[in-house]
Amino acid sequence: MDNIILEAKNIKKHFPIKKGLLLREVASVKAVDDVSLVVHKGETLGLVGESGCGKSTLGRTLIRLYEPTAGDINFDGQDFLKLKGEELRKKRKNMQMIFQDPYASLDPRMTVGQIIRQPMDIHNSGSAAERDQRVLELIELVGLRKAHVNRYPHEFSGGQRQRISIARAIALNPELIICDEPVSALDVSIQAQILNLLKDLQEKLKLTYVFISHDLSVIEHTCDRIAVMYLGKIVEIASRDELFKNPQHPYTQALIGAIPRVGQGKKKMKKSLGGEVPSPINPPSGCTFHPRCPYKMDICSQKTPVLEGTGTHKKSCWLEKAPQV
Amino acid sequence: MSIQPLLEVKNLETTFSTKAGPVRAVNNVSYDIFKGQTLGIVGESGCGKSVTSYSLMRLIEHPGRVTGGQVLLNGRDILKISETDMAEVRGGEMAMIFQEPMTALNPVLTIGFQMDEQIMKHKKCGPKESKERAIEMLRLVGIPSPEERYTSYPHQLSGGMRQRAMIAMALSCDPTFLIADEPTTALDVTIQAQILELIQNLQEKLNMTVQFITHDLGVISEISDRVMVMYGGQTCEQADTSELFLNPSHPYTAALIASRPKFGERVQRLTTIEGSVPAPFELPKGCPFVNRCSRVKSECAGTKPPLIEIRPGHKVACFNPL
Repeated sequence: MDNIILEAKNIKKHFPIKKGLLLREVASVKAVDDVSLVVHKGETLGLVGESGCGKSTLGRTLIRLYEPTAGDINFDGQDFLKLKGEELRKKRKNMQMIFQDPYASLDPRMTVGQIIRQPMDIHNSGSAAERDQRVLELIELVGLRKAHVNRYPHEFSGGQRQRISIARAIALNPELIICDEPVSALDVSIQAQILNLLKDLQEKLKLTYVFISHDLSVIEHTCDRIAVMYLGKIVEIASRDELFKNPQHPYTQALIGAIPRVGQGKKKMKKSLGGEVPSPINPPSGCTFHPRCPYKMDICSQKTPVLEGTGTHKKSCWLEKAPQV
Repeated sequence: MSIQPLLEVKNLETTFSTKAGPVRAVNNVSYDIFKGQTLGIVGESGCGKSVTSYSLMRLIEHPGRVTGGQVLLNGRDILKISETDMAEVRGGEMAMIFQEPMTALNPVLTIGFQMDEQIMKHKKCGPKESKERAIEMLRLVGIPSPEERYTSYPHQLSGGMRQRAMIAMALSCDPTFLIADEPTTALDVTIQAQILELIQNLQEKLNMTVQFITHDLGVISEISDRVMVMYGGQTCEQADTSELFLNPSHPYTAALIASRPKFGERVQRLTTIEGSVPAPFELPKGCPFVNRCSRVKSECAGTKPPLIEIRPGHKVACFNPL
């Protein structure tokens, strides 16, 4: 299909743990373990999961901020992992990232103008005057004022800072933006502003997003397709409506069940999923979710299920059909 | 109502003296909580919800000071009693769970040591009984192998387990009143559900009264009987939970509820509140929400709206309520 912008096959990212005098590798953290996915042009693909499930690592690996340990990435019809030097730099223009913490991701010693201009300086796009012009355009596009251009990040609130980092991310007209928890650090009233801005920009600039978040309500609002991750693996992937109407994996069901809902009045909490996410250094055998799974069978601890299913809805679970909750 | 509330807060005022002048972080806040009930306090960062709790516990440190008001716990004004008497109340009758268990627990002391310290003081018992009590509490909050965890240091526990240990600690001396300050904010959703369930079960079992602070409207709506919304150090609205979410009267409450993506309800665009939360030293003279409000009237800028009961049990501080 020609509307695929990025295709990742069997991506692994293991971080070695080294010990002793010779720094021998004694173990590794399997942050992302054998993940395959495609991202279509113009869509928003959500990656959701709890802390430590590898969603951020996967996002960073997709644009080679981390070199994958194994696997293939195809970006815009090119083998992205083979690219080097100048070719890689050029390709990178097409992919940008928005980080979670707008306080840590902006250099406090640079003015807003310099921050937004920097990607253009690095990639030599346009003349100096054109760049200055573009900076002003971008500032207005993300809802800041032209007068802000010579100010420093500390003069802005969290929401405004996130606008600055969005302006920086779209400066080079990228096709793909990885949004890594872009609203988690913001207050509720500000979150809505940023989510609306991201949506507007997507329509205006035909952007493709990979949207990483732990907040299922935000994911449901923003994403077209959603991949649920657990311990470095995708356990279920489906379109938004499919996933929320008909969740198949017991973990997805538990996640959806655990969302506190507004306006239903005080209620007795349901029996929630027990236990905690195990360590990715030494994950459980078979299906990594089996120690917490309410429908555990014998096979679950012995063999690893594969991600499969009909059409666009895939799950990795030995159950034919998980009981509906 | 004729029954006396367990906790009555009257015109509480907490001020921080800063270089830019005095900052009133909590401004004339009043509320009651009846026995066995849960009051949820909700608001965005800087709205004064945590400072209110710290003021109740008398844990405000220099340059802050409680500058006015009364806090009546079982009819006794705990702002007036001596520091020695307060030390008896704090951790005994009244306990608190903090947001960040990693910073609230002492990293160089074992969980057991920190629990014993409190239990021996309030229960006036020896180390042996205290250890028994501590282990019993750790078991009650669902920590596996509590005997081992008793000798663990905080860093050896996961985030969820640390939060459980802190709840065990807070509950170890049978408090009648518990303050939970964003106890689940640092946790994952499945762990959050476990902790909320735990607090609810314990509240029922021990007939505790709870003040629950959070910025998450979903959490507040599921755990509290009554809700107080704060903005800029002041109360905007107080009502029973279902009433508040069905008929929000303060424009801020309504906007806050509308700006949150609601699960299972699809909208193209979210409602936003323009602008951002004002810094505490640049609060407007009148209503703190005046610059962001969509229903602003001429009197809003100059005078603070008083908290008025518009329906039984539903109070709003607004000149132009919905």
